[in-house]
Amino acid sequence: MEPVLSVKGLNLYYGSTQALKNVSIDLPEKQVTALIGPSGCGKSTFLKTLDRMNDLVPGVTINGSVQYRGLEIYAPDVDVTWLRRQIGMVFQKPNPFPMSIYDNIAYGPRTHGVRDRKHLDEIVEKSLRGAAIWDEVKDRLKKSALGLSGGQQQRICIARALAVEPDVLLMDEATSALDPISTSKIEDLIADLKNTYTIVIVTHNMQQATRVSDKCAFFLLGELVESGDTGQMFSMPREKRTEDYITGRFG
Amino acid sequence: MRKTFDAELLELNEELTGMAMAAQDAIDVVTKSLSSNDEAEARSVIEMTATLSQSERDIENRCLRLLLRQQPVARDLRAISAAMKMVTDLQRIGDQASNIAELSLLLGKRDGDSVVVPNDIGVMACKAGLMVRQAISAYTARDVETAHAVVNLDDEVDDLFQAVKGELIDRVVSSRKNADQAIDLIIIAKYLERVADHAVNIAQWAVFCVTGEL
Amino acid sequence: MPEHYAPVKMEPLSGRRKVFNRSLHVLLYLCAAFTCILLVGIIGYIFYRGLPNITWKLLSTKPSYLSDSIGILPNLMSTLYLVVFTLLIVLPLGVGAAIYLTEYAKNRRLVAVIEFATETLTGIPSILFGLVGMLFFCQFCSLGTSLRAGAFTLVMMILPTIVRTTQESLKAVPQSYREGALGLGSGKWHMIRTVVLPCSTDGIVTGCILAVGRIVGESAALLFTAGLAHSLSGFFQALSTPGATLTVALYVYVTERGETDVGFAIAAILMILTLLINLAAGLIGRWLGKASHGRSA
Repeated sequence: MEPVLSVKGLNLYYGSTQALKNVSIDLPEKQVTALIGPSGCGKSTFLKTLDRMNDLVPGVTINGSVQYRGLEIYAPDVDVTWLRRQIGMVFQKPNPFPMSIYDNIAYGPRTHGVRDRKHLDEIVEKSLRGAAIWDEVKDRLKKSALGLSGGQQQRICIARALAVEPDVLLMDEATSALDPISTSKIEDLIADLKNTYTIVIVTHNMQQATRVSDKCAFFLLGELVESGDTGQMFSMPREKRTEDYITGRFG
Repeated sequence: MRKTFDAELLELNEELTGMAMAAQDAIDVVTKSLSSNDEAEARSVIEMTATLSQSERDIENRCLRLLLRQQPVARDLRAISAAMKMVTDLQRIGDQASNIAELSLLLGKRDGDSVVVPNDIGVMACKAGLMVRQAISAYTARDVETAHAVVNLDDEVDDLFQAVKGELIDRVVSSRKNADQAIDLIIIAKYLERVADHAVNIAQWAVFCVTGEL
Repeated sequence: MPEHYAPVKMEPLSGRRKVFNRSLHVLLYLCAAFTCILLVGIIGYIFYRGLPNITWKLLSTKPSYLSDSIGILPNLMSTLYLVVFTLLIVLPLGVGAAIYLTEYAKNRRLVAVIEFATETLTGIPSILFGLVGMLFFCQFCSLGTSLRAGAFTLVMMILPTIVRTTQESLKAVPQSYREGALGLGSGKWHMIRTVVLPCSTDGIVTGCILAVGRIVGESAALLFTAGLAHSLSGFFQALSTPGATLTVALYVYVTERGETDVGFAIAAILMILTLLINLAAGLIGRWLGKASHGRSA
């Protein structure tokens, strides 16, 4: 099967410091890939290169190839807004806009030109159901999204990302700010979403990586040390550095 | 890093080694009781195997606690799951020893001093006990070579079993009077051969612990 | 657990420290009290002298030499016109500049220089703006002494304030909102218009209030540029003719005609105006905040 995202020889520099070193990895369709590694190892940076969010950071230079379904995403004629519509992002801290729940979900579709009220209603309901939060908020769609709990806010953000019907969903430590119950709800959700979307998560939680991911990639100091099947990696890693990290004996 | 965890893993190794030594002792003692026809020794083996069961439960508890509290992965996961499987084999070895002890008591009661134990049974017991020790040290030292040596020893034990079997068949053929005793002795030899098989299992878990291959 | 254990021994503050604490307390209390008395005193005195002199006739007529009466309607209107016209120019200009500086400008050093310049500009005495305004707008651009020229001068003066306050409120919008919007595939301007600006309305409103306050209170710069006339005319006509605002009128009536009572009346009116502006601003800010937080589709 053709990978959805294919990265070859990716190097990324913040100014003169190299944050990613010759990273090559394929992300297969409708699978959850977990990026693990110690803080500052480049996994979040790598995630952000996949939907070009690094463009916002001044002084970043990138070389190498990142292909989304065969399209070189750093080619000069690529429309970034189109790309980001295909590749949605959920951030570490829940960041619903200070608007009503409805407007949060409808934000993406409206941005992309959906005006018809009935159609928007459908999208909002579908997305909220998709993010497993419809029942909790269906009676308060007009209320501010900021009044929800952290876990609910994060699921609102996931629903907001789903509303633009992306192909790939990137999650940057999406549960690190949440309590265990909310975390397990989102983990369940990831398992459901996997049937429809290709998902890439960054996580510091090793157990989470083993629970939710099919593939796993271990980053260390900007280098992709090892990637492969999650079950294999957590029972019999190929690299000593991987083993030292996942067994908690890093350094 | 992970000091307590590493300390606990070391303790686990020590407990397993201790248990293996106890199993080896049980086999030694029971083999001796066989030839010396010492009832007290035979009874002591049965008690020894009871402590082995207790050790099995202790080690299992320790492993479960480690799984729960440390959520081990990779080599730690392999070490702990292997330990859990190995204690079962060790405990079975104890069972075999106590089975032999019971038969030994029976033999002593029935045949008194007329019991003639084939030499090879003593050799088998010696080798099987050694295999148990080696298998466990293969595990604690994460040493694949030693584990393979254990597997090779098993072939020798199998050969010895065949030899014992031949000798006992000859006895039965030569005189019907000794048939009962010969059959009991062949069962004992079979028990020892089982002990060696359990040692092979343990050695295979030791290999798994290093290579991850089942 | 020991059977007998002594309770912790409390060490009371030493006498010296007690006295020190107490006296500092009193000193701070006196500072606050003095400030309050000063404020209440000024306000009270102005209202005491000004309120009795405010009459309907004063508010609704223009001054007449024939009946020898004084009316401040032209000054009220001039003030109003000036506020509206100045804001019309300064708001789009200032907010636009602030958006550019915080959201678009890539050259951090240039931005720092501009920010430093605007900060310095806010500290310049207004009479200097008046001088420059007179030379540049009234004479060089030949707009003459007019409300128009006055408004342009005030634009120069207020622009830095508007830029700064808007910039501050734009910077206060969490970066995560911008990332969220961009991550959903919205373009930059769309993101600013739909997420950033609604979040910073209260900051912009605050800037406006400060601006209105300065316009209403300004006299020095306007003496040079907007003139001293008490004529009453419509909005567009008024722009091209001179006109004195309330503060300028206050200055003229008191210094040139010795009408201290009228001066106090105008002062009281100015104070009431300021109060109303502050109240209105608070209300608008709260309303806008509510609207942007719980806005329905």
